Amino acid sequence: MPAPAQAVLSDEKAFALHERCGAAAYGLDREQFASIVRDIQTKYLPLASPDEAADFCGALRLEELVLARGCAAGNERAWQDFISRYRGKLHAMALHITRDAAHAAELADSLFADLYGVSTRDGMRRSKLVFYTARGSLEGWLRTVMAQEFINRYRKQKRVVSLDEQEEEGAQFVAPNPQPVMAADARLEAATDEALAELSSEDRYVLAAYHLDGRTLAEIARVLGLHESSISRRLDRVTTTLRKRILACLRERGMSHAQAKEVLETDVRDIQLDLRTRLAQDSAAKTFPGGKVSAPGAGTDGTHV
Amino acid sequence: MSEAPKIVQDRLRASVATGAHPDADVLTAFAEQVLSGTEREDVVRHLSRCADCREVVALGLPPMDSVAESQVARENSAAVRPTTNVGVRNWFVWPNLRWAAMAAAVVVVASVLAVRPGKQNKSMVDAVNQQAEQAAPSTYYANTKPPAPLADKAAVSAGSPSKSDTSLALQARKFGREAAGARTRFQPSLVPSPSAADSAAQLANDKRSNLLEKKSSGRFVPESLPTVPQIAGAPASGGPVAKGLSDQVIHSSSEAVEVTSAAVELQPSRTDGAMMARNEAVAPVEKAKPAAKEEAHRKAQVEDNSNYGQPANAYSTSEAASALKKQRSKDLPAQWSLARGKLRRSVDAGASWQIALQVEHPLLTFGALGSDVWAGGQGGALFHSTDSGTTWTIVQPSTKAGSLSNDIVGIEIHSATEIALTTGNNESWTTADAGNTWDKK
Repeated sequence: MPAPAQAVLSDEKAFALHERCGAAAYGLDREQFASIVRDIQTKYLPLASPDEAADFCGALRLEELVLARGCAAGNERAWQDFISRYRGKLHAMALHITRDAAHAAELADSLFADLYGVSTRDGMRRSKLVFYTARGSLEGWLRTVMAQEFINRYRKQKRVVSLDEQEEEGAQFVAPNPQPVMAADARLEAATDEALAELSSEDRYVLAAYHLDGRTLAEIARVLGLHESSISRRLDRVTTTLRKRILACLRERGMSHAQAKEVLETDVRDIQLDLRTRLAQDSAAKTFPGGKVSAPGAGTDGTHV
Repeated sequence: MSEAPKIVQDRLRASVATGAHPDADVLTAFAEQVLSGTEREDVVRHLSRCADCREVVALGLPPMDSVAESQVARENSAAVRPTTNVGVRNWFVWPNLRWAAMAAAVVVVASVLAVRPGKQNKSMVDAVNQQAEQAAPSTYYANTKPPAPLADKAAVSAGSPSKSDTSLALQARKFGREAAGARTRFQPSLVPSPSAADSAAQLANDKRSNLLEKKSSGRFVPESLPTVPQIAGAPASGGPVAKGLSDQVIHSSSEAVEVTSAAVELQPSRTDGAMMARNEAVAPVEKAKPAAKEEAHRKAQVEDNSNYGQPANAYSTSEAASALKKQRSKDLPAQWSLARGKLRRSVDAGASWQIALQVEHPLLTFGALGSDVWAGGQGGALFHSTDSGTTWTIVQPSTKAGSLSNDIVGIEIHSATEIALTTGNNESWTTADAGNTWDKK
């Protein structure tokens, strides 16, 4: 199959990559492989020059890509390799995510079924492995997919409590809070939003991960690829800067320094506001559509940033 | 960690990311630090507003132990793979690193032992010079213990040829009286015989020998003190002997060289710049030369030496003394000297010397009795060894009123358990139980 006229990755380079990663061992011929690689490049780097495209494709995890796509295509050798490499790891990953043996087994089995493709569409077995595009490691992708599945399934199930459990916890006897929920000062909200908007994305991420998600400095550091101490320093710096900026924004909105300080320090929101926000987030639609997204190799685009 | 205001947390929570979530591939690539540029920035921007994706990324991180395992596996595969830099990588594998860890532990322990409170970074020479100015008089009191007659006569004889002022000679005499007989306190094993005074009197008749005896004072090398027959015998041969001795000082006895050097460095109130010489080889030559040669230098030295009235014990460098030293080396396995702030030990009668104790700040004095060795230095640093310097322990003399923090400039060992210290500010610290408890005067 000749390369499409608009393809920036030449056949020659695509075939060279095919040879390099041993795709033939998993039943992928040169044309199939070139098509998969071009789809991935088009998805993530649509406006690339031929050289950029070649570099991009060369940086992909091609050995793991052909393994995943071989599995998705039902290649027996690919499945043998996949099972020998990842079957045991799937359970360990699930245990790490759920921290519960029963849930871990359920989550791992569920994901493995998705990977094998028990669900059918148009009478065809569809494996979730066709979504793997080799930007990161296959193991990391499996872990991420499992985390998404966990969030979709189990985290939300925890909040659905049976009436019996409510009764045991005495929840049905809880009197409604007589105090009305007090809204925050509108000027304070506007000043805070303005100050937050001035932060860099990474600073805002550090702030949210630490204060909202309760992540440790070490976890945040690992995500950002930085040292723990730099995260600590950054958190201190961002918090200090933010406080100063909010005060300044409040003064710009006509408050005196003392007033601004009082408004900022006075905690007028109670836990109900937090609950309301949290409940509102819970009512959102399913976060990760999972198998609803078509694989790039299948010819349609998946969602991405 | 400073706490963010509640409103900040609320507004962070209230803001929701718009647009689609990054797919699992992109999140994985982000967590594995593969993304760069705008792609990474886009993901971070989304994560900063999307709690779900933040949680996915956090949950998707491999556990730390698996990270360590994968690193080990990577190192192993790198070790198996034939590469040109395998040798370099092998330095960092665990079997080698554990030795590095042990070495690091040793360094840490050594640095803990070496670091002393008080004195801060000074160059060693400056520190010694300053210390010497404060410490030397009391060093003298503590360490120079000639028999009184010897000191008197030595002072007189030292004063006459060099025309030094009589006050110096009187001082030397005074010092000699104060220190009379004290040598036995340092080295009971080297107590001079009852004829010491007479022998010393004969010795004092020879100016040059007297000069030599004082200049080569072995106050820091108690083991090098000769017994009285050698003291009496050496001066009998007069100047030529002294001249001959001077050569031996240089060539055959590094012990005397080092000791003299230490004494020079510690001598205070020098008025003659020539006396500040720290050349270990030159100093003893000058000191040992006959009076007829290099008059100016010798005069200055005589003046200086008359200040101290140090005992005659440099005759360890004579042939007879050398023979005696060899004989004694069988009985005294270790000899000690202090040079440039380091305590040195010789186990072969002075033929070779090794540094037995070297700490961050210079040592100023030491005392030895058998295998018991004490060494003191700046900032109250006090070290004790009960095995001839093989192992050392730090001793911190203290009383209820406080601990010793001044420079230790003198150590007197009366017995294995009775030790007296003199400090730069003329404090006297004594212990009767080998340093467990101390009294301060």
